Amino acid sequence: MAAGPYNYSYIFKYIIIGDMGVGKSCLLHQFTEKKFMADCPHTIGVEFGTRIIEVSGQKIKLQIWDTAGQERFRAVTRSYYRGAAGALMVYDITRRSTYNHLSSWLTDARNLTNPNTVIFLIGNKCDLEAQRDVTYEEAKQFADENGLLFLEASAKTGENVEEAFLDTARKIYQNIQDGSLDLNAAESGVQHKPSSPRGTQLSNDQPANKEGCAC
Amino acid sequence: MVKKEQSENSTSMSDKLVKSGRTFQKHGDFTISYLSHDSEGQEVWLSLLSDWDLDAAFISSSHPYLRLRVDARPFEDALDDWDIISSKDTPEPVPHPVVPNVPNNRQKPPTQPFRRSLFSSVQTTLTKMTQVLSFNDTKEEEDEKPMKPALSDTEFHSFLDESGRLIRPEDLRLRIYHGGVDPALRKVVWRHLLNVYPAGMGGKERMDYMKRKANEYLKLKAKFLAQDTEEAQFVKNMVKKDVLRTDRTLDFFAVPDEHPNITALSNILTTFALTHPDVSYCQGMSDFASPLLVTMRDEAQAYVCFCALMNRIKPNFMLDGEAMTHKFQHLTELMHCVAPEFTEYLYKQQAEDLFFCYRWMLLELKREFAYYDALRMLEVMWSSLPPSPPQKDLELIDNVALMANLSIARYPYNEADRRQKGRRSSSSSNQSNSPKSREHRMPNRRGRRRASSNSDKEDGNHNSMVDGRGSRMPSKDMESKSTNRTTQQITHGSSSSAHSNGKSSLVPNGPKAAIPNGELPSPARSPMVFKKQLNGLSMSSLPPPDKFGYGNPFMLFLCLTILLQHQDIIMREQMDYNDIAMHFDKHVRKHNVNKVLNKARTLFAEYLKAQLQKSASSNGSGPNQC
Repeated sequence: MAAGPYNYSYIFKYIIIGDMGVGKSCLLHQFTEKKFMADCPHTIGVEFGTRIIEVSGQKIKLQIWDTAGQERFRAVTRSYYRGAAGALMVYDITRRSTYNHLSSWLTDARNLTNPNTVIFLIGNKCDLEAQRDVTYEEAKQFADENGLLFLEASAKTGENVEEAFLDTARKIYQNIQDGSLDLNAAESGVQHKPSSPRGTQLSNDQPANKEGCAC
Repeated sequence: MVKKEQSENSTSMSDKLVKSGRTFQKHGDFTISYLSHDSEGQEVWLSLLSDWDLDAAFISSSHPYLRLRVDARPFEDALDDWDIISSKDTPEPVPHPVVPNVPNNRQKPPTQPFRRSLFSSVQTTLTKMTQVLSFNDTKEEEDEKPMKPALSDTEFHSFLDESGRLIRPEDLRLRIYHGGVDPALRKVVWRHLLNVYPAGMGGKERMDYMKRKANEYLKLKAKFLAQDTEEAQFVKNMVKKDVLRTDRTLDFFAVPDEHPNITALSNILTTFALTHPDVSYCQGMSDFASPLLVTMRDEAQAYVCFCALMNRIKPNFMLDGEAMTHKFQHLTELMHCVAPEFTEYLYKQQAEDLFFCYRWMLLELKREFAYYDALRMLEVMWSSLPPSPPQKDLELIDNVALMANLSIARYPYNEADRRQKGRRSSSSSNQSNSPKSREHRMPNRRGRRRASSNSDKEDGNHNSMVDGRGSRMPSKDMESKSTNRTTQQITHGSSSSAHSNGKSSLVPNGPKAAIPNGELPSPARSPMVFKKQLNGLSMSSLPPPDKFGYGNPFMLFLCLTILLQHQDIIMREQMDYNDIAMHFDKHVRKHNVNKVLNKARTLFAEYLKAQLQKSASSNGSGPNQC
């Protein structure tokens, strides 16, 4: 990152993964623009969004990598996992196949990120209750069994979107605080998993002096 | 047709209308005319194109007030096909009063200093090559103005003989390479650029041919869209998802989801996917189909053009990822050659893989420019390629793949579901059941550096390329998969694709233009070539034009240009990999098309020149350094 004054103390890199059409780009758009964009162009390769949030008085810039979902692009999108501090894994509650594919997404997320990467499972389109194809309970169970955070959300109404992105950041921040996420290791590129040479691009050189907590 | 009539006697308001008329008339969206009287006193609507017209309108106004009419041209009204049947069709060109700077339409056939297309010149004789390169003298770099005005109707006629036969296809391409095509002519000219017509057809023959092909499409569509197999359903759903979010901000697609324009795009893609099961539907195809439909304004004709385009571009979407891998390799080499310092910087940032160019290369930069700019860029790029008309008829269906039942559409579906079984509850055991390579392969970021010393291992470059994967994919299974990659590359198709039946779909199938020799791009240029070996790489040591960029070298120069245009800011602000990727993401659809085209043409000319020198010196001296 360029030298110079920042108005944030941390950068967290997120990656959003999941089958095509589950609403990854829409969730991102809802989070960064607070708007629902139904005809968001389908992502080729990767696209980005950023937003500065506040956790425990610290300003954190979320740098969000939104990936293409089609199976055929998997090898390409795999190259974007590197150094992700958070992974949002999305399925569509109205399409079971997108839920069935979660394990393969999870495999990638586990293999290609560091062990402390926070993985958040999002069941999107929860506004379409009538078309529900995956129950909350079974997804919750899947999340629990795999140690994932979980929420059902709607990029359309905005329900739980903010929460999913912020909860992920809080968890990452907590990992930093309790020492389970080694910033130096991340920066020096000596993590025992090779996927994160620059890891969670954290820089403490500009501590923010914000009072209070946005949480 | 009449959308609204306005009564108006306010001059200032009229001024506005004239201005807006000018603006929109350029895009062909609507025209403004005024009511006047002809010599026999009949009411007549005349075009309102200038202030002068406006004065005339006031003077000859048929009423106490001025009546203006705005005509819009909706899609449905433009469905009728047209082509230029003979050069005498429109013998008297109507000067276009809207654009004052258009040169005299009656000028002689363009007297370019070259007589052949760029490629064939390189491939044939040196003298012609030298001629081609004379455009290198023009000072166009960094210029924001187009190099030449777009090809006009009259000028296009100079490329046709009496029966409307295209007589100088290479010259036509050169002309378009320098200036693009007048938007009103695209519908006709693009079919030539896209290699829709077999060579030597007269105007009437082309009309019959298009009618026949359109009927052929309608039959295919009726047959295949009626399919209700699981696979067909899967394809339909995928396509539907994407057409609903393809260029929807464009007027043409800014319509309700059920609108015929959207349905047409969906039909094209679904029919293509079901009739070409070895490639099926892949995200990004809609980006190629959209400009064709918008330009042709007819579903069947757009489909025919799409098939012609896919003949060349299909390898981009093939599972093996071969084409994309080569394109990345070649872009890297080009960067080493032209911008060693910048490339060095990218290495330091571990960004030398240039993955942020993925969308650029997959979609041939279609999304990097605003829509209508992209159309200009695309036609210029197409015209940089040599003519490659189909031998007989353009194939609208891949019967070989169909007969062999080579469907890949069902794989992501079934396989992923199969993978799912048995791993629901245990994430740690997932690794033992890794997905097969049903996706584009990409060179690994680090692998390149690691395996770089294997200079004697050139043939195995894909193998070693993916060996490096292990560095980022700790899963043992992934590693073992990687080492088998080369074998898989050849064999995985046996279960799903065409290699066993002589169709060799790993090799770009069909596009003789793209790979004129019908062979794979040289594997000798391994992505593992060590950085040091690449440094000092000269333009002349780059692959020849028919191989470079997997048969589309100019596309690489467009990418190079965009990279160079951002070199300063990237290095000045010390951007890292993430910053660079995000920086370019912000410029999506915003690059300046003329600036990029002009600079790319200059760089491309340098490359062709170097290639020429290489062939000139192939008898004696060694390679030049750049």
